[in-house]
Amino acid sequence: MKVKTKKEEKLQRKKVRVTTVFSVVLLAVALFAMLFPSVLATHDPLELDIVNQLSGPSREHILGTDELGRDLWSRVVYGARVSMSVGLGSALLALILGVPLGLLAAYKGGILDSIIMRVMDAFSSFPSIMLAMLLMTVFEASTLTLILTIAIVSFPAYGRIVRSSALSIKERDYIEAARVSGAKPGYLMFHAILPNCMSGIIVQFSLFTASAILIEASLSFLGLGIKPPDPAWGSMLSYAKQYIDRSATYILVPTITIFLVVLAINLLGDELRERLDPTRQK
Amino acid sequence: MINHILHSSLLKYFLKRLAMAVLVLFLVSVIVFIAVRACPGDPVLSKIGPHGDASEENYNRVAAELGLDKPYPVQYFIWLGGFLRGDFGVSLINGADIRATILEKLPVTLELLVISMVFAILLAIVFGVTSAIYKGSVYDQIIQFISTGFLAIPAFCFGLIVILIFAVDLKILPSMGFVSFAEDPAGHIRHLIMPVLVMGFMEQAALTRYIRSEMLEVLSTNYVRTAKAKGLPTQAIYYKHAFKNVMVTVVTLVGMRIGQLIGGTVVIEQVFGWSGLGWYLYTSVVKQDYPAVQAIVLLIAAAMVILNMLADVLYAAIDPRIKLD
Repeated sequence: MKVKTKKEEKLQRKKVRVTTVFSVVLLAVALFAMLFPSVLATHDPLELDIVNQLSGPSREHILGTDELGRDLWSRVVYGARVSMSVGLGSALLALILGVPLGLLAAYKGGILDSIIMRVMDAFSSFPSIMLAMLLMTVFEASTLTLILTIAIVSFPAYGRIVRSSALSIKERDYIEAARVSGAKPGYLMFHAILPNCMSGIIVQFSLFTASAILIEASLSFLGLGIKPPDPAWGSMLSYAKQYIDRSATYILVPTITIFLVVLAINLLGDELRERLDPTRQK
Repeated sequence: MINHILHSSLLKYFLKRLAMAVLVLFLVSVIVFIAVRACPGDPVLSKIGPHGDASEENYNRVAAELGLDKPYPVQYFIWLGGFLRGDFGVSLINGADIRATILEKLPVTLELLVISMVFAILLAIVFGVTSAIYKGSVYDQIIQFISTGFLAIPAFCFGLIVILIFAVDLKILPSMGFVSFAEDPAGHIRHLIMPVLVMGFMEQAALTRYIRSEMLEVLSTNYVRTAKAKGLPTQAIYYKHAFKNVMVTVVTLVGMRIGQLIGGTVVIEQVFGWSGLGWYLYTSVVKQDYPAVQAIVLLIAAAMVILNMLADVLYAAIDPRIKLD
């Protein structure tokens, strides 16, 4: 009897898609590049090669070089250190800020709810890149301040999502039962309500990581990110732009990198949404 | 419609949203004020200049002139009062009147914004509706692939690729710059094509997804099924019945998305050298011209709060099913 249900379960489980395999492999490579760039890189990202400036792909430089003859593949690999860690770090920090606020607003309701929501409204009234620009003029650019800035820009969206799912869960009978039996508010919020919001939070985490990478890229393209010579994908492009008529590979390498990483995260997010949310069907 | 608007619950909803908007605007202005005060650098010293007289006496005089000797809350209300009267102060860099500069740059950005938005909406309607009607077909898959792709690329990257194709490779369009329409109408339009193309395609991605899912929902409703059962021609069902409903969503979406699109102009104007408000904000940030940064950011945030409020109220007025809470 037990064997049969397991078999049925297996049949019901969706097949692993090509896009999912692609996303997982790509993200694994990107994470590896973030943690151990020296293993993947073929050159020192700051090493100059004056003879080979703005060259195309060659045996020596597999993806070509930039205006100072630095190896583009190695720079993209080392760029993951900034771009990936800012993306993941700020999505995580936004979660740490947004989730408790959303839970608290939903659980307490009333005036506290209104205050929390209006503050979040205020932060989300700015176009995200503009608020990020404003904050980056306040802070000195570093990985940490980029994480903080992008987290401030995106935490209201988190808070709002958690609040709305917590509001519907709050009304369920088992929460009421736990309350009546004397559970403390902290226990109710974090042990009874939060686990039921988790699937939405996980999906949002992937989407926020993707958008954080895009914001970081735009900021460093505008010269408000990590200062040169350390590579970041966005800042590489602001230099590439000056040589756009001399080297197309210089533009294409960072662009394709950002595109593939963000695409992989988004595809994984879609996949997670379909698997975790039984009400949403394709 | 009139009756519906006068309906007391809608009026109540409007007043409630208005009160919320005012509160949010107040918080927004506080955030901007604090952020600008927290910026590194001393505005008094930068006003005096590196070669000016930085003695204590002169420093205090300049600080008093700029109103920076007063406590922060007083400074805030003086600044806010000035802002509400339309007095945005003068640039720290060249002493130019900030309001005049904003008024000069605003139409340049609005032109780009409005044309791009219209282009994006048209694209999204064609893509979204086609993809919903032919759900699961090759068209649907291609369109979904395109919109997923555009959601994964920063606007400036797409901009650089467009420059690479049209200006560097094909050499049919100027790579960047701005020419006023009065000076050279044809040149103005040639410079406008690429930024509009980029912003339109970028914005289309999100809109297409919304319109597709909304259209699919409408197509599965009972009244569309009834219309089909009555034997109405398919075209008529799509355009008269289904599409009309989807337009309600489009109106709201435009109100919701306009803010992000304004944010997008900052980067796009930088890529294409389009000298509008986004360009002005960018140069002010780089040159640490705080009064200008303050005025532009607050103005845009205020516009967003008001547009969002209007979109909400309009949505509630058009669609009586919306719960007013």
